[in-house]
Amino acid sequence: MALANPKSTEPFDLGKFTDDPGTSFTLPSPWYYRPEVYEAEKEAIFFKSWRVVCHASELANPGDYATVDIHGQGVFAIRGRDGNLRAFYNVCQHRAHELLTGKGSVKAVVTCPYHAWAYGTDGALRTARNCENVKGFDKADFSLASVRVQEFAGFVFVNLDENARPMHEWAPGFEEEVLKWFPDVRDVRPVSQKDFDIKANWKVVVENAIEGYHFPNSGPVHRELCDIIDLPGTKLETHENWMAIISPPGENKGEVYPFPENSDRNGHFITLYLWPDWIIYYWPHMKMISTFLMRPTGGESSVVENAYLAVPGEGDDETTKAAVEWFNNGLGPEDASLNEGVQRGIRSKGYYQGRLFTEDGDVGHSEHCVHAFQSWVRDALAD
Amino acid sequence: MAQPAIDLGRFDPDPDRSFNMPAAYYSDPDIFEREKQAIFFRSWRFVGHTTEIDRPGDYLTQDICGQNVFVLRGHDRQLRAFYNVCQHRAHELVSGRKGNLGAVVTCPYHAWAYGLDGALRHARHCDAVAGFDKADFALEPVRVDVFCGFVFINLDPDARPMAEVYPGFEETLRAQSPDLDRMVWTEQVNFDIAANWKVIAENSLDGYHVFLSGPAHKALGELMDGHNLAMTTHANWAMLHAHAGTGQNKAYRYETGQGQTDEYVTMYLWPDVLFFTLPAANGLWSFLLAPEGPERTREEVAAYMPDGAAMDAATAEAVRYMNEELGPEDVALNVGVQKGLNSRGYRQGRLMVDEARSDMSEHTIHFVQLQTLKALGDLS
Repeated sequence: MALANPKSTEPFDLGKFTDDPGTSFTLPSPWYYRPEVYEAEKEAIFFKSWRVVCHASELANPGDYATVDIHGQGVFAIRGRDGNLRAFYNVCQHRAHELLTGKGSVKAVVTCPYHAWAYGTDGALRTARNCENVKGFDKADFSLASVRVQEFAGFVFVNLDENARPMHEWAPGFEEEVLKWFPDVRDVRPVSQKDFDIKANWKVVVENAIEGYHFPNSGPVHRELCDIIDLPGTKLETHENWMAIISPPGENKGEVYPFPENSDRNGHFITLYLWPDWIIYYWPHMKMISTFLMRPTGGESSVVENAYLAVPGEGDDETTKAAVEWFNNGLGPEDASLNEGVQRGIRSKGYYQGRLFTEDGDVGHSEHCVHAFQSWVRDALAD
Repeated sequence: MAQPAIDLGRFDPDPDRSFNMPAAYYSDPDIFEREKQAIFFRSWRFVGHTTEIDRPGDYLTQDICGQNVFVLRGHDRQLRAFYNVCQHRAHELVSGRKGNLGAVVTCPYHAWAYGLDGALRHARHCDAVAGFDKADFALEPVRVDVFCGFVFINLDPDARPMAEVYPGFEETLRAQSPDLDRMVWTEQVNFDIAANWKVIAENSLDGYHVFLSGPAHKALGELMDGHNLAMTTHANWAMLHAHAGTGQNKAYRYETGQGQTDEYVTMYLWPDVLFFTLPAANGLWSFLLAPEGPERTREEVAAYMPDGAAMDAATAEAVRYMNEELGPEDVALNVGVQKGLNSRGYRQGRLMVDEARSDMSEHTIHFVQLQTLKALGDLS
């Protein structure tokens, strides 16, 4: 009988995790619950990675803005009156009140709710009442602090690391892959969103989304998934800071949800994962795309923000509605339950690290994407 | 003793040149710990009004950053305060905000009983305990003072009396609110606010935001003729004062000369309590900012009426406006500031102090920060 590993609560220990996906074990369990790891991830991963804000269409017009909270760091992206996209820390430079909430549009200036300091859409301080009577006051000293922002693959992203590489260099090929599968990604508009509260570390949630090994085994809705996709023909590719999981169409013998007759629609199941926390999803034959933001809310809790977007006028057909319903009330909850079951096991004194099951050829049931993801986590925290 | 933990940046003891104190002072757990020791365990803490504790055996409790204290009226009519802990096995003695204990303070655990003077009277079975002397187990006293008709406590046994710490305060408040000694606690609303106590103190002394933030604040500006707001700082206290506006405002309607006062007055006792009067309102308000953590504060807003009289229509309207409009709007502002203070994109803001000390000048904000830094010993 094996004894519990004596190092079983040590953060950052790699144990039998190695560079070789063929022989590596998983990252040890403390990586999934120790507060030290979670704190280190904030700095090393989330404060240095590109984080989605919204679809680019939501910031199409001058004054349009959207806010985002990255582990307590509020940021807003805004379309300037000059047409340029910018992002700033969401904080007034006077007495620190938050400037904007949610999404919306400002007319000409961003006005602080506290003392009405007003900033242009370029972040420059325009008006600060009574400043003419304050000694040596220079508006130029109080511009908003800017944050890196970029439009990429139809969406807007921000990055708190001012030295971050542009997204095309950082995730080469991702945008092209998105456009290949979703040529209308810039034409879609947000339709709906369903959030899943999951009592699991964010990495558990990501790993669940980037492997097919569990598909045939883990529950009735997952077995349905295997009916609408060709699991043995599935390819799982890793790239620089992104991954692609592409499944050819299955037979849908059990009519999991109705496929359209003689459709020219895409019958693939597609997962395009962008490190660390974002995915574009697509279910066979739907006239929508879906996105996942896997947002940690603590060391052992996450929210998955599952958004649906469609070209205006599309997505109202029977297949699409049934696919959304199938995921929202079927596969999504089944995966959430799997993730919570993993998190409970992660805490067990009877578990430290398991063996990754990888196989050459990027085949559907191989866990090499999980290994790549865990390597990225390790590398980010090693710096 | 206290080492400056943090570079003060462009904070300046001179309000006319100063920037805000660094943001870390509003969230850092180590600084909060130092504030507990240097400020809250050494300052006079508001407890309640003397009329709430008039009969022998009446008590009031108050919690100072985890140190619970009760104040007690003795048979000799003296007020005494004690740490709220039994000297046997440390159980808390009394609970709730106030009550009456009768003749003795009895511990709920083993029924040790203390007199209203704090002396141990009964400890069951003590005659069988070798060398037990009741005199060794009196309750631990805490300083108590009565100031402006209100009861205050201080964990520092060497604290100076309040009249010395806050010279001129009592005369000024009595001039505004002559019925101080007859005020009776009428109602209280507590807010739990996700903000540092200084964010709230600064907000309470901030004339600059009155006309500029939300609708309840714009109404406040009209209510108190805010453009004539005078803001002054004194030895350990500060004051905001304006004459009533027209009565035709969006806060509440009144006729001038109707109530106890036609003045809007905020009087601040460093570090954590304020008193208010409102135009035409026949009462007084206390406003306690009790820190519970670096980013959490319990705000207790209590209303007092002279002799406990029923509130007239204008006063009830004033209370409604305070509790349902102005209060929540300020809470939201304070929470919004706390979020921003934690931002990596916030540099040091400039305090908007003008030479005329106008109604928009932020010298009172500087006062809160300067007092804090002095008490912490962080000014070089």
